[in-house]
Amino acid sequence: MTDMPVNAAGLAGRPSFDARQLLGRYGAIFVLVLMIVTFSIIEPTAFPTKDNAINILNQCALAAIIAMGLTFPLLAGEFDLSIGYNASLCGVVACELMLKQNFSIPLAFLVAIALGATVGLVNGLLITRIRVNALVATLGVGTVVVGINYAISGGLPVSVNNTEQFINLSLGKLFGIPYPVYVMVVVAALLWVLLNRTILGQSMQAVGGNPVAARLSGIRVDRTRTLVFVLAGACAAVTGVLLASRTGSASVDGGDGYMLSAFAAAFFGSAVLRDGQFHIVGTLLGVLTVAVGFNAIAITGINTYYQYLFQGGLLIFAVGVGTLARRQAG
Amino acid sequence: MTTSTDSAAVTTAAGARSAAAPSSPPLLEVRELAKHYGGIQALRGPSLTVDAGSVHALVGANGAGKSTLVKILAGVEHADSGTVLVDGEQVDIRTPQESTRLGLNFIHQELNLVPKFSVAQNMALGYEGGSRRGMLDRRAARARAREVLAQLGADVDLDVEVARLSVNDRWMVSLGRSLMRDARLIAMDEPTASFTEDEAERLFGVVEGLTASGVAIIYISHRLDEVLRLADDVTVLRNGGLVGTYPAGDLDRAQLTHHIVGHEVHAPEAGAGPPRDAQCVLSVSSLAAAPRVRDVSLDVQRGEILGIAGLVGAGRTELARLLFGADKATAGTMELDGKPYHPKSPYDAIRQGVALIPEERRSQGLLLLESVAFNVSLATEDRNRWRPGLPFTSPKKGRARAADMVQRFGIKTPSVRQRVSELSGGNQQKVVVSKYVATGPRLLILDEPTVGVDVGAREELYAIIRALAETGTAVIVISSDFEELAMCHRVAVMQEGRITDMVDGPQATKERLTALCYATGEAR
Repeated sequence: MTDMPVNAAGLAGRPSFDARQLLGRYGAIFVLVLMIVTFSIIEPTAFPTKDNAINILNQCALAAIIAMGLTFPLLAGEFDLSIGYNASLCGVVACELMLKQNFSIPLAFLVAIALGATVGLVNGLLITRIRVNALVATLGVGTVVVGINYAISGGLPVSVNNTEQFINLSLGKLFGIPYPVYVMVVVAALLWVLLNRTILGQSMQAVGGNPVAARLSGIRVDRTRTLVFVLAGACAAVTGVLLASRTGSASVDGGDGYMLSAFAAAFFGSAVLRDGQFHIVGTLLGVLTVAVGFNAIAITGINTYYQYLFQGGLLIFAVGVGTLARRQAG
Repeated sequence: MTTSTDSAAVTTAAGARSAAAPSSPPLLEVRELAKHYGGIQALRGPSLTVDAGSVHALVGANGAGKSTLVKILAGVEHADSGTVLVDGEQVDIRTPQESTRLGLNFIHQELNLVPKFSVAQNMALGYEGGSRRGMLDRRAARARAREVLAQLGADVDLDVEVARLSVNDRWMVSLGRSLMRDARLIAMDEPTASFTEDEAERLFGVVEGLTASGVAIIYISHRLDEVLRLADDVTVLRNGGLVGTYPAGDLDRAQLTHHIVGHEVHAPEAGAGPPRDAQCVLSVSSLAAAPRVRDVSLDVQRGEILGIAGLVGAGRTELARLLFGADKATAGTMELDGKPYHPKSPYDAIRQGVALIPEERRSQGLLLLESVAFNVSLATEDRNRWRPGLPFTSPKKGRARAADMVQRFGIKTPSVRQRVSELSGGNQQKVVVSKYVATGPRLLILDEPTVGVDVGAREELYAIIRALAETGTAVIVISSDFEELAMCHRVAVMQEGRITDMVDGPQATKERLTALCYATGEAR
């Protein structure tokens, strides 16, 4: 209620906000903490252990990487429906290259990432140059990607020769923590810095906030829009290859299912910490919350179909509460 | 609902109105409303009384609390404290529907019409008289719509899509819709902002007709001449508080301005102007992009403020967009500092030293959900680099630079982290101006820089513009408020995509410019 004087010292401070806003911003984190506490009480021997924590992180690594990639098109005001198919294709191509062209694992991985990024680039160019609606463009490209994938693999899973080394990518550990967790952390750090601490990241946020004002402020909107799809594609590729390395073979539709969970996580994350904006930490929390829930459901031995009820319910709850709180806070 | 009884009670306009007032409670009374947003106290308990059949003007600088007061009456916002009385009875307006039911109607600047709907469909929205058990009686609604439009003297086809109407006709449709809902009080927010003088005249006639039939009007405007002419009473707000309510007859323009600003203001003056041998910054010849810009040649010198006057639709905004690379020219050439200049995009233009402050502040100038710091840095983010040569930015540096600009341009905000949507119109405009001035332009174009900006902030903007010109920036000011073009060294008059006249500063009076805007070939 107090009137805030305008002075240089006050300018650097944060604006005040009220309880409803706090609930809207931190409600989802509260839910996560509540879940962890509750499960720790219900399953004191199985849930709150170091091994299980690592297990949860390992399980959410792949979903987190692709979801963080998807966060970029979303925050720029676009959609990408091709990421799941893109991930499948990149897994298959990486395995094909190792099997038939004798590519080393790192080289195959890099080529797959380049391929994923190229698919993203095609999405971006269709959307910015030909002005195809993003939903249509990415759905079309995604379907074409499925076709290419079948043409390459013949619809059958592609196994690699040096299975053990490849599988080691997923199962190998450093200081007791599996490699995919490190990949997730590194990707998260890179993307966070890109979004929050680079000029390009600021441009992406500006394009999402108001593309007209962004363009008139000298931001190259089309270039920025294209790049968000490239990022999403590259992240999908990482998830696709890591997924194939779990079993040492890539199936033709292995990554498809990641699309919906990535959307769910990103939307969940948009309700966390910031008011309805997509951001990296939010997406990460979204993936983590779902993984904690799934883990607890598995440990307590409840039917697996509860996983879906849980995931859907959580999404609606988090986004609903966030929206409601924001609206009431005005 | 009650319009008929009101009009029976109030037989003639001015005379009967004041006689009828004491016998019954006022139509609307507001007592000590208070409202805060975050750390900003938007309303500090002003009170006012509006009688049926009167025009009550509400004036004040941007951020004075006019919008907040109106939003509370409209049921869009809720007051922290204070009371609202309708017909002497306390009411609690929780929703816009409730406000409408009480007979309160609001015509905002953004008009709330559905562009894809026809005039008739728009006017039938919320029309209860035409519904039978929840079904809309189209015929009754149409008949009523036609009647209302005729009453307003608006010649609008009921079946035409609203998106295809002129701004003025849209406004009339909006007003018509209020009348269909049996409005007892209509609040109009800056109604004449985009009207021509003829259209404004028509509106004044309509307002007089409405008050004669007992409708009360709350008239919000920055145009003080209109206020003094139309209003019975004028309530002045400043910084959310009440300065006073005055009978319009007892006020003149200077006094009213004094009440609004709290100190004296003068018409903007041109500075010394560029020396005779000043360097030419921008030179344009035969520039065209059909249909709005047909053939424009002009040049601007270092330190010069060039005005562009014209009517709505003359092609001024389109010309500015060509100069800024926001649209592409189809013919003609441009030179910047003697070198060919063909901006492909605003990005290109800004890098070459040209900036445009766009016409639509909210939709083209700002990221409303982002902070002040984010917005002021938007065009100069590369100066917030953490280390030179690296692509990383430093938010700390950004905030410090933003705090600097906030001070330099006098932006009123509790913090640079404040969301820009929560600032007043004048302060939002200063944010946009500072964003572009930060790019260090050699040519700065301002398109309608003071629309919806209060008198005090206007003066500050003029001072900023003059200071820029004095340091050698070439400035182009596009304005429909010809009085403010008095600050220009030269004024170009634009008509139908061509520059038809060039007037030297001292001769560029409002009357002269208006005449030239309407002049045809022979008359000139």
